[in-house]
Amino acid sequence: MDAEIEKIIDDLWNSGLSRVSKKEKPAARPRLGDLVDLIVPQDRIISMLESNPTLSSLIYYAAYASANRNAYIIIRKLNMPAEYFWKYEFWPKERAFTTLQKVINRVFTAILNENKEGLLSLDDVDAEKMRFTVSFQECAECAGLNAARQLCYYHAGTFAGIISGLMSREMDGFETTCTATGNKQCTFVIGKREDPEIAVKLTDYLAPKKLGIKIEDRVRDGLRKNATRSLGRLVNIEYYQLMVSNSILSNPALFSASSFSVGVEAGARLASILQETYRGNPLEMMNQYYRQLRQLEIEAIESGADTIITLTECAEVVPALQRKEMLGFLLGELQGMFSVFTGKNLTCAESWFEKGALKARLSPKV
Amino acid sequence: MNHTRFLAIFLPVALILPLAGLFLPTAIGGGYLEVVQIALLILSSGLSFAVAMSYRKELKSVFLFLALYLIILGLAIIFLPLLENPLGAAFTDFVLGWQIVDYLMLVIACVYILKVVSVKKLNAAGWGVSGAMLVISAFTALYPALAELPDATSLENVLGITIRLVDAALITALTPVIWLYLQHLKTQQQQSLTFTVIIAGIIFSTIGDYLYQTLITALGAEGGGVIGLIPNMIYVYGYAIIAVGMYAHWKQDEWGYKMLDKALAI
Repeated sequence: MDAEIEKIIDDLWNSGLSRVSKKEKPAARPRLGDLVDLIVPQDRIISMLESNPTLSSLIYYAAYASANRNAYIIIRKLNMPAEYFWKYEFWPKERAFTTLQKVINRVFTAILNENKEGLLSLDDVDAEKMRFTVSFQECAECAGLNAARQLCYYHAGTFAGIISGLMSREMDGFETTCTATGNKQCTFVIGKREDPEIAVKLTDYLAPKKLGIKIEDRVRDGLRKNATRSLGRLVNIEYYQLMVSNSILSNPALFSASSFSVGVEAGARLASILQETYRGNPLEMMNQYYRQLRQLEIEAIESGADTIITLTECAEVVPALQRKEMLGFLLGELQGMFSVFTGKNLTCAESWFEKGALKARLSPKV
Repeated sequence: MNHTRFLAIFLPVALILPLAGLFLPTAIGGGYLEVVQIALLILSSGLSFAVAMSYRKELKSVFLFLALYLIILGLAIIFLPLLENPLGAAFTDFVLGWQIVDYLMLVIACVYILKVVSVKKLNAAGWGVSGAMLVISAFTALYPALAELPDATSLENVLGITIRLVDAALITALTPVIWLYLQHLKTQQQQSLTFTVIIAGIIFSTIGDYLYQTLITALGAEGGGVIGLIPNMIYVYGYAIIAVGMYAHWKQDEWGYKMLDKALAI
């Protein structure tokens, strides 16, 4: 595990908690603000999953670990006793449900609401079996998607991690209904890790299978501003940053490289969508696209055979800890798009941070 | 208020209850300590019953049998002196029967505690401490009785020694609860502080009197006067620990959520 990325994750959770307790915070970005279109995280995660279906496990377990650790930290930070849910399996149903529901609503539902990730609620508790059913409406992970199977791996891991952190024991969860498969809401069942039924169903849920999603259709649809949920089309930038940092946590260099190559394909695909949707030169089209999604602002200058691009207000950049590994997919996407637009086979030769902006040099492949 | 703050305030404050006995005239001091014992036992029993209602299965049984143990003990202090004359020669057997029934409640509560507590998680040091506790408590329980060389054929003495042995066994059985709390103090695993305090109160009230008797016997001191108040003072503080722990355990849901709400409201 990378300690710096882990710190980014913990800071993002802490920031969510600060927003719930209404602590004043400056906007994450002066011009584009705190929100980003939910197409941005969806495009990235779906492109990655379609390219490598085994990533479902990685996304799930990384989200689980970060939520587990942070649920515990948050509860302690809020001065609640660590043993608040002591011997939960011996609690009567009403006490078990009401107490857990109050804590989840006051803290975690509130954080997810602030992030505009969705509406979390505890539906049922079987304290004796340590089984929990939670529902998630307006899920940012799958809103507007049509898939052959449930795909909210990030939130499955997050919810299992939260319950696990609260109960101080290893839990797991899987998704039983998903908005992407035509249900009204996403529903998750969480239980003890050693519970054979949970283990079998989790294995099946995480099994690498194609999702059958045409992400380009989702992007086209999103750009036409079709509303997909009543919470709106935007999510907090921190939800996206949390998702990205979780996905690269176990091996930042490796996952940055793999997301870069997926990004190249996504960028090539995106170039044609931009040509259908916008007018102007390629840079203007890219700027319109990224501004519409509130993802970033882009400038580019020619420098001999190279193109130097400058990205500001970038949604992937956590200002306190600028890590290039977070930008693998984006840099790949830009390389793919510029290659299509210029008709040259470009490569991202280098990238660096300069005065808060991310710069990258695109050079023709030799 | 939260449970740690409550315990930090009221466990020391509760010392006032037994210590007040020292400042009263000897004739009144004994009576005062008995009244306080009765009040604490009834209070603890009521709280234990209330706590039992917030659990199911084995943990509910733990608190129900603890409630019964405490109330039977309290009733003994109230009614047994009143029955001494009416019962005459049968009084001693009656007391013994009452004591056996009361101890049975505590033994059953301990059996349920061991079903609930994950003794398997006890580390090597914990097993070592429990073993040492068995030796120490058995010695402490038996030494004063054996030092006086009782008639082994007397049923009363045999039962008396049996009860002391049961006490030693109970203390040994409860030690893992305390050790598990210390063992997991710095980890994320849950061990309840308030439950540990309740168990500590039971151990203290059970072993405290024996410790006193061992000291008196070993030192050959006289048991009268102020020194004679010490066993009752030990009981009073032991029951006060149980009452304080039980109240904090009962209020934990409410206090914990209030802390959370307060922290988020700032």
